[in-house]
Amino acid sequence: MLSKKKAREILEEAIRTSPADETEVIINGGKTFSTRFTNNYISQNGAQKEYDVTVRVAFGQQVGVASCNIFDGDNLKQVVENACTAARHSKPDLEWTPVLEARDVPELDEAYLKDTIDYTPEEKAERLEPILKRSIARDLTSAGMLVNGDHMLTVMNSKGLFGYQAWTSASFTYTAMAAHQGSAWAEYHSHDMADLEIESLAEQAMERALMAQNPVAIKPGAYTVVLAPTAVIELVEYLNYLGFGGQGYHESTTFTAGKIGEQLFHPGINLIDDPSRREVLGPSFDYEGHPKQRLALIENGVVRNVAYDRRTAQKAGVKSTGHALMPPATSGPFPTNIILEAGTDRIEEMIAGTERGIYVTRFWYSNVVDPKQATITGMTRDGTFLIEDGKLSKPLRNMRYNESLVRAFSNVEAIGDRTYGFNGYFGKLAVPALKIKDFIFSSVSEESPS
Amino acid sequence: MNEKDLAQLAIDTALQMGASYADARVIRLRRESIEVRNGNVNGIKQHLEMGIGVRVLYNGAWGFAGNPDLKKSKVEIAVQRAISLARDSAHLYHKPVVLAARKPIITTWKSPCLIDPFTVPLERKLDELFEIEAILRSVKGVALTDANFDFWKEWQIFINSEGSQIEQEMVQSGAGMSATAVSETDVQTRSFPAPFRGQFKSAGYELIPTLKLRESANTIAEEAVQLLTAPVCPSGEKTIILGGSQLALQVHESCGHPAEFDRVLGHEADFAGTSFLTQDKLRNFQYGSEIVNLVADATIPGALGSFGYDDEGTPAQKADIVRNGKFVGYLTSRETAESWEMESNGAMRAEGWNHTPIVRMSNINLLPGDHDLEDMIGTTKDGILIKDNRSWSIDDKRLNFQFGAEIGWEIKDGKIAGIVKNPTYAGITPQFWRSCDAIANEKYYDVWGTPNCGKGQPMQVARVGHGVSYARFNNVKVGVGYAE
Ligand SMILES: [Zn+2]
Repeated sequence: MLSKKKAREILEEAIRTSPADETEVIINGGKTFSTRFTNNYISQNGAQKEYDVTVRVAFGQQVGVASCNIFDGDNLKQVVENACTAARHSKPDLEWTPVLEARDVPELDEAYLKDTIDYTPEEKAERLEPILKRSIARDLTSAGMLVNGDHMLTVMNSKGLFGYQAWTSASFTYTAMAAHQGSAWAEYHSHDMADLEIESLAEQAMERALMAQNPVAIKPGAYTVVLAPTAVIELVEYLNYLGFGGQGYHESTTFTAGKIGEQLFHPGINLIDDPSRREVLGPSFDYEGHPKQRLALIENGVVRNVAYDRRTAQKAGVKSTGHALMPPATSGPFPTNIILEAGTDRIEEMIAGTERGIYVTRFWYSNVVDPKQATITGMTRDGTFLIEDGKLSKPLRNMRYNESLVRAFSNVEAIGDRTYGFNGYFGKLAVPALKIKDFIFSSVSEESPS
Repeated sequence: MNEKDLAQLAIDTALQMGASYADARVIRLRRESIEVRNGNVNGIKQHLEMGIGVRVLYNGAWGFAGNPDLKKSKVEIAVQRAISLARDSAHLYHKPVVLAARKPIITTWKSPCLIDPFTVPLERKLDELFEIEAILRSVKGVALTDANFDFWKEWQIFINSEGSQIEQEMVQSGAGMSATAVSETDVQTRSFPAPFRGQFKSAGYELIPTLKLRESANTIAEEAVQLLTAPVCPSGEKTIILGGSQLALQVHESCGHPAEFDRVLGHEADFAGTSFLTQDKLRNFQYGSEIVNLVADATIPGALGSFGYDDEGTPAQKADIVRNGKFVGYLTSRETAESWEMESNGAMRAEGWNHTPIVRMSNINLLPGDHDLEDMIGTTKDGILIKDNRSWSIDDKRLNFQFGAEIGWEIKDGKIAGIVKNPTYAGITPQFWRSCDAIANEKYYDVWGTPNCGKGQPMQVARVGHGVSYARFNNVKVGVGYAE
């Protein structure tokens, strides 16, 4: 891992080299060690190491960005020069906002765990072996991946602002497949390898895969759904993407535009962004070095805030919330460490309290149908069950949903008592299980066409 | 040490350490993206990278390590890491990996390029983008506009322990623009030549004028404004005609991905998914109607998914996937092909130096038919002509899909009746392709670049292509997601 001391030296050197009026330098990267298994055997082992240095410079309002994956001596000079050349030949960026003033930038302790990064491929193989053996013994097919890695982000600008954060990561994704289209899924992400209870996750998925064999079709329509946290992720991811970026908000392309202060959702819905929370631990500053604090996006069902970087904040006449993405960040800022706050309901009770409904393990390949209505579509995958009289009564064929997120998060009937952490598109997110009424399924998949 | 010597060093080190096979790729990549948005420079980014990726077979198990540092000592460390990764899990391998035979080859290859885009001054590129973007903004009612260029130049040397040594250089270019109109309740975007940053080819800067962005800017901006007040695409079972990048994406999702043999073998079961095109269906399954012919062709000069050799050193090929409607072939690698006693058809590719190769599409093309578009419209009673993708979604076996597009034109009794907004359609892959009753001819045919195909764990992004003209499908569910 690139240490804080070494990182500071490289950043200072880059800033010293730059003839520009303003300079910002970012280094991010790390190592990833992945063990991938398919068909009950380990199939692919990889070690990847990658760091990038990104330099943004401004001569007046003329701005250029350059990046490179090598930054010793001449290469560092070269990347600064490339950014300067781009800036000098550019036209003025009329919305350019000056780099931030120096200030204290918080660093989280204990985000970097030595035991997690030191976890060896051998230990991973040992850990997976009993699971794979059990899978073979039960005539199941297992596929998945066990990964550990480390990451760092460091930022410095020509006004002396400096931030550094290193953290580790561990993740387990697992698919158990049984004959006759039975499949089930488990997933867990943390900064701490010790959090990964891979044996129990795999065990539950294997049991569910056996239960999921010979799925039947039911009529599409509106159903009460109990969504496992692994299904809720996709809905929250799109809720964020379609609602809480400051650029889209002010350009009126989000479903939240003009609706801050309005009760759009069930009063139990609280969506926050907070990188200091354990489930979504990450740097407490953004790519501009602006500190991040807890930001309430939805409070008791009311839209409260959207995310800003310095450019969108200046345009909107507000303060940055510390959500700048990697320069040039052409889509603007987004929340990156999101938590849908837990409620009080156990997922077993949600199922037990459902007379007729559908249990969804996960959604897959969701995409936007209508951005302003926040309508998205996607498929169920790896374990969809009919709930009858409070029990998972039979496995169902995968179904396609088409649903507005505004409707879905208004129709919430129960919120799980625990959040689980996952990796998402913009960063990390943690979500509980949800029970939602009148969730719309538009079609049923075939399993094996002839 | 030069790149060739470093790659050779990696191979020699791996063999000394007991590897039964090794390959190494040293890559140097240069990338530039330029975006103008709402009359302002929104981002200019220049990216440089280099690194080595080493793949070894040790005790029949794979190990891969990527390293950005091209120093001799670091390359040796990368090899050691790849070997130890393979060694530590070799006992959990099903059976030793065997690679289908491949004759070694020593050669070089270059993609066609007349004007190196990195020699064109930034001022000129920006001037062109500002000019295009100004036309978009001049149309009343347009709220947001953007125009962008993307360029890649990638040099790589591949060496393997069987004696192959292949040097390749690829230049790729792309350009696109979009105009967006916004109301309190609606957002409508029109893009050109295709959504999601435009059209991409393996070509130099000479591609840019051929895309005719300037000439098309006014029309697409006007369409974006018209869409705000246009009627919503009707719902029901209808005939649809798909064209351009929308048909390209339909081919990508419902033919290209399910034909990847690694998916069929379960290698992607935990992420991208498996495939409905199971092995019992090879040469034994009616994928589409008799006029449907799909090929994987990595040899088309200038197409985004073309190359000289894949990342295992297998030469670029043209292979049938669907012939006269029958499913006849997969996309394969040396390992996946061996399991079926076939030869690899050269579909193994990696993103950059930092990923291990996986089975990938090259250019998956729907071969042109013999119709004129005018006839296809003229003989459609109740249909929608649909262009330019807005959203895509398909299940993990690649059967149940739903697409949304930017714009549709309603067809009534053989005539275009007007534009409709929010066209969506859904179906089941083989039923959909079996309903295909007309494909437009060569005149309408182009290869569309898809620069953002995601697959693999850790995820890799590939640039692939799709040759299509127009195709007509019957009894398709349209208006899904908007129906009451
Ligand atoms: Zn793809």
